[in-house]
Amino acid sequence: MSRASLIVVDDDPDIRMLVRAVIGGDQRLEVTGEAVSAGEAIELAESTDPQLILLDHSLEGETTGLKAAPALKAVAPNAKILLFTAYDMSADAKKEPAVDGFLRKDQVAKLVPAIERLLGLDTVA
Amino acid sequence: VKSTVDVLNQVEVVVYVVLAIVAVARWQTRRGQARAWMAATFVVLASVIVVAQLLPTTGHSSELETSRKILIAALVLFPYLLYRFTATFHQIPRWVEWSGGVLTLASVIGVFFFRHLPVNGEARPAGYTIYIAIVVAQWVFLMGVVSIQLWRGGRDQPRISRNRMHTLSLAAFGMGVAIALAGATPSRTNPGVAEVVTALIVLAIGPLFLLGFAPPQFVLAAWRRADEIELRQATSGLIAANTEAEIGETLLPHVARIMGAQSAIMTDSRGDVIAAFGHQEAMPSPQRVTIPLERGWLSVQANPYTPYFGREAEELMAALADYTDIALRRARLAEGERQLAEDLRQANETMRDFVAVASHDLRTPVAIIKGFSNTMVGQWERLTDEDKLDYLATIGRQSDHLSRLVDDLLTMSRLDADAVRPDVRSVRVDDVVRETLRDLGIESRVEASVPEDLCVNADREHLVRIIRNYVENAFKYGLPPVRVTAQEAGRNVEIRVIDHGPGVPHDFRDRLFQRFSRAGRGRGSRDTGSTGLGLSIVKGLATAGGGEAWFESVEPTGACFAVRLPKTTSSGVR
Repeated sequence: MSRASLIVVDDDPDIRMLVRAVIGGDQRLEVTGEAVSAGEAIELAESTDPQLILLDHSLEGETTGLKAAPALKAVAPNAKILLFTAYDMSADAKKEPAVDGFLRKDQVAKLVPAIERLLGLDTVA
Repeated sequence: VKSTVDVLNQVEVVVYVVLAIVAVARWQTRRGQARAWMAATFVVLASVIVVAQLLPTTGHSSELETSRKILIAALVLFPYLLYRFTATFHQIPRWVEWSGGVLTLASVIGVFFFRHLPVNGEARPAGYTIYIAIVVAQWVFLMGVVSIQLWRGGRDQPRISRNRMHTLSLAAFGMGVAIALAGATPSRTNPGVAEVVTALIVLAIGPLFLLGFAPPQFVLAAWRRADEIELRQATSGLIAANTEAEIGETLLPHVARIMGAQSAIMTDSRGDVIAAFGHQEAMPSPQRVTIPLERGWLSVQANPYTPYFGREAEELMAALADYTDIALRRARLAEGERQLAEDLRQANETMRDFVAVASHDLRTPVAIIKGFSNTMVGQWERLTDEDKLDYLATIGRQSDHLSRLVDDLLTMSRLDADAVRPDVRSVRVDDVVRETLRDLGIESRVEASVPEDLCVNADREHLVRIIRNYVENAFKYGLPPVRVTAQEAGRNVEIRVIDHGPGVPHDFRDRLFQRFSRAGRGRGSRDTGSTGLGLSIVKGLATAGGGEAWFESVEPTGACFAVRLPKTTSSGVR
């Protein structure tokens, strides 16, 4: 069975390592790339065509994650975008059509269920 | 005809004596060169007219002859004195000065060359006729100069000044005509129509002079009517204006029109321009009328005639300044309220941002600590030892960061609540600098230039924290060599930490000491372990200790962070 590919866009190396650790044990998911800025993320999404983009709001450079979401969607239209940030941005995420889901970082335990829901994967018991 | 002339002469005496009294009274009230010449002019004229009435018109005793000569000499002084009055306002061409002076001198001295002065009805010898011609020429010339100067000068004046100057100009012109007429009239025993006309002109000129230099209130009220409309328009404009600039813009065109000026300016108490009207460059300070406002000045372009003729306009301007003060008070109150509302809005926004950023910065380490702990618990068997060590190291690092952040937030909130009570004592700066560098383990990497006996009045712990923060920042964001200097600056000591890194971006300098400010998104806690609160705490601690913290750029590159604290003597050093 092929694994769902995802890229992690976050400027914090500890968060990127955490995401790898959290989903590392899940055989259905695979982190295929990491980016720290909006520009890097767009290039990566275009080249890897991921199924999911885990996107932080606060990135290196001037462009925020929320602002970068439409461009990411444009280069990877099949990818679901999950806004994964420590800010309370659920309302902002709902207003942005390019963003498919929102999860606050301190609810990291819900990360895998959120990805399952977005990608339509069967829930692991 | 003779009785008519006699009656007219009697009335003349009254009119010119009144004029002399008014002129002297005005000079007494407000001394000045112009007023002094005006008073002298009319005292001389009134004296001549009174004495002429008292002297017999017939007889040739030597006392009588001398008296008549003195009277004529005094009479020719009148046009010269009036000319001197005009000359106080303007530089008169040299040839005019000379001609007027020579004619006057000739007229004064000339009369004493005649042994016998012909009275009415007696034939005038040729020499005397020439002398009369010189006197007439002196009068006509000087009165002409006065008349032209006042008429021309009055054109650009405020309404009342213009009317006064033109009235005086007409009076001077009339006086010239009257003397020319008198000089042309042949000597005869019984006066004819020419004498009546001359007497009538001289009589009519009296009130004109009065209107010119001391207009009665009812005349002023009539002349002021148009200005009062201007004043009313200005005050209604002031009511509608809401800001200082609007008040200035509304007011100045009216002020300029009232003062007959080309330009006007309103400044605040520091002399900064609030509003300006017209071209300001042609406005040297001696030619300004300046009215003080409660907090500033109202200035208009003036001219040499303003001090003498422009008093009424100045009074109107002063009245307008009173209304302006009321409007400015109202505008400042409204501005204060607007500022308060804006400050509250900004404080609210700052608080909202602070809560958002603080929540974000607190949640991130919590998320990482929680995430790695859960992962280790859930996937212990699957993880390699290396993974486990990495995760534990990250948990440790994030716990330290969280701990620092909580400490900083608590310090910040105590500073906000004014709950930080510095334990202020005399502290040796070199001790504190040395101790801080030793604790950081960088004593050998920093060049400290601090005089041994330099002491500040400060909380030692706070000073350590300030210097520590500056030095840590110099190593995190700057480049060696890093220097710490301290020097006296008046009653204070200034301590500086200087690095030679890339410096602070221009657009970030204003926000350097603000909370959670980091140059460039993503820089900060990720790279350096900074909480983003260090400099704002430094500022708060420096302020709480009666000092100040600031940034200076270093040429060609680098940054300098400074703190100023009160200097003290070395006694009581801990």
